[in-house]
Amino acid sequence: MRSSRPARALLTAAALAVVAAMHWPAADTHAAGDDKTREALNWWQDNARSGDPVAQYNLAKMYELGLPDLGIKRNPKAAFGWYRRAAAQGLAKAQYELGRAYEYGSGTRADRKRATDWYRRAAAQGHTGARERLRAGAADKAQTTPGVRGATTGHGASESRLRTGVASNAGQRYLPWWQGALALGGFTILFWLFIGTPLGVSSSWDRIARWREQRELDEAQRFARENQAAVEAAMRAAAVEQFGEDYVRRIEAEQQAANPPAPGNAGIPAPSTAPWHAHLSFLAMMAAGGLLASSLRGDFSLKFSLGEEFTRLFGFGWPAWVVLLLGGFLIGFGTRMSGGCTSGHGLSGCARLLPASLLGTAAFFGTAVAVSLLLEVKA
Amino acid sequence: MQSSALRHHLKLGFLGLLMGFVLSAIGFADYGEVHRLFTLVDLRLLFTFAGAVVVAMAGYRLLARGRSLPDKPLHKGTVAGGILFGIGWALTGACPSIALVQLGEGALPAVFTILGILFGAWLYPKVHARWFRWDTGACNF
Repeated sequence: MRSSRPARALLTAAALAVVAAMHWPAADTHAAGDDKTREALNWWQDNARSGDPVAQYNLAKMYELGLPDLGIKRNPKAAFGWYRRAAAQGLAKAQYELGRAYEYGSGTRADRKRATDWYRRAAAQGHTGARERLRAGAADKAQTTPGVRGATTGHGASESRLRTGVASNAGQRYLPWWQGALALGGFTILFWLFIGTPLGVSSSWDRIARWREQRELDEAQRFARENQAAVEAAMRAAAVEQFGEDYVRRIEAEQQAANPPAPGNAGIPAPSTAPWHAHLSFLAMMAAGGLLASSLRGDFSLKFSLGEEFTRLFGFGWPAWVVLLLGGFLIGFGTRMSGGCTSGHGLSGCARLLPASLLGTAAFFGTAVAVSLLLEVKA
Repeated sequence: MQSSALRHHLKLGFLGLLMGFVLSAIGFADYGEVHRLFTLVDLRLLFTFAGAVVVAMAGYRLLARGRSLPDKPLHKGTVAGGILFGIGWALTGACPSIALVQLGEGALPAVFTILGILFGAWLYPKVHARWFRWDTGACNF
């Protein structure tokens, strides 16, 4: 959080340097200054290449305007490319600029539909310029893009601070709440019907993290089950030797009458649980599900950031990655400690009104709200 | 044995795909959406979850005839662990499934979250065995 400040300060300094460079009338009288500007520029370019959306935006702006003093000519195509990379990472102002590029055909072919689409994404994040362009466009010509709700009618509603799925602009790429509820609730039941145990994801992580022990446990269970007949025969032979055949037969008959054996392996419970590597399939396919859904939505791209909100709060680069590593550790440790996560406690536990799940869910949701509000106060 | 392992892979793989798809479709893997939920700016995801709990509750009631489901024990770690998880959730926007969905959507930094989760899940049983030893009512879960 705090560690992102030096990065931001450097970036601001670089931006100021470039702006200053644009206003210097004679380059040769400021040779030393030019060197510094060049340096800042290089630093900037490196960051843009390594995926920093803010640096990408600034670089794009530079190519759009051109810096003749530094020998950088206007290059709408390069500007478009960098705007597009920054926009894909969720930077609202880059999305707005990309919308403009599509609207006016700068650096790319003009495409009203794409322009509207990017304006909408920027507007959804509260970009006022994009909202104005959308309003102008809507008045210009009623455009409708299938699959996007509330595009021309939702402006008034989007102004209210508290939004629901019905009037939400920000979430309009996603399912409205009632459809999401049906899908998620239905999946919870489907999982239980398929697997026989209530849905829970954190236990899969546990099995994978401790795969060595799990493998030994799986092996021991398999061995016992496979050799159950031999073990039982050996035990019976020992009993016959000690008590005699007649006595053992009588005991067996009595036992059979008392509780008839269940079909299958009655003595050693069959592993109701999947081997640890099947849980690996479960988790890996979850990523595939995300890939599929985002590809169908059309917003898949490789990003070096979790989005604009995240970059705003934690900056970009290794400080942010340390935050993720630490946060991930708290997730793994905390969910195992609590005995469940959003799915195990929050969905399948709360749906069965288990006291532990209700308390656990209240604890993690309440904490997440408190921490997020604190982050906003600090930011 | 092999065919049963394969069946587990297919079953869990299919369910994982479906779950990742649904979670992505409701926008739960979008840091901005989750952050707007936690800062109480946009409650769509809260309604989604509350609705899902109601749907699942109805499903369990209707289909649970005669089937007993394992209880979740309440112990000293339930709330404390929840608080730790809550901090992690607010920082990363991820819960144990979401980190993977984020990666699937192309957010590469989620790799760090995943490494963190693995380390935490690996370390917890050791810490528990060494210091806590709560009665969690089960050996593996």
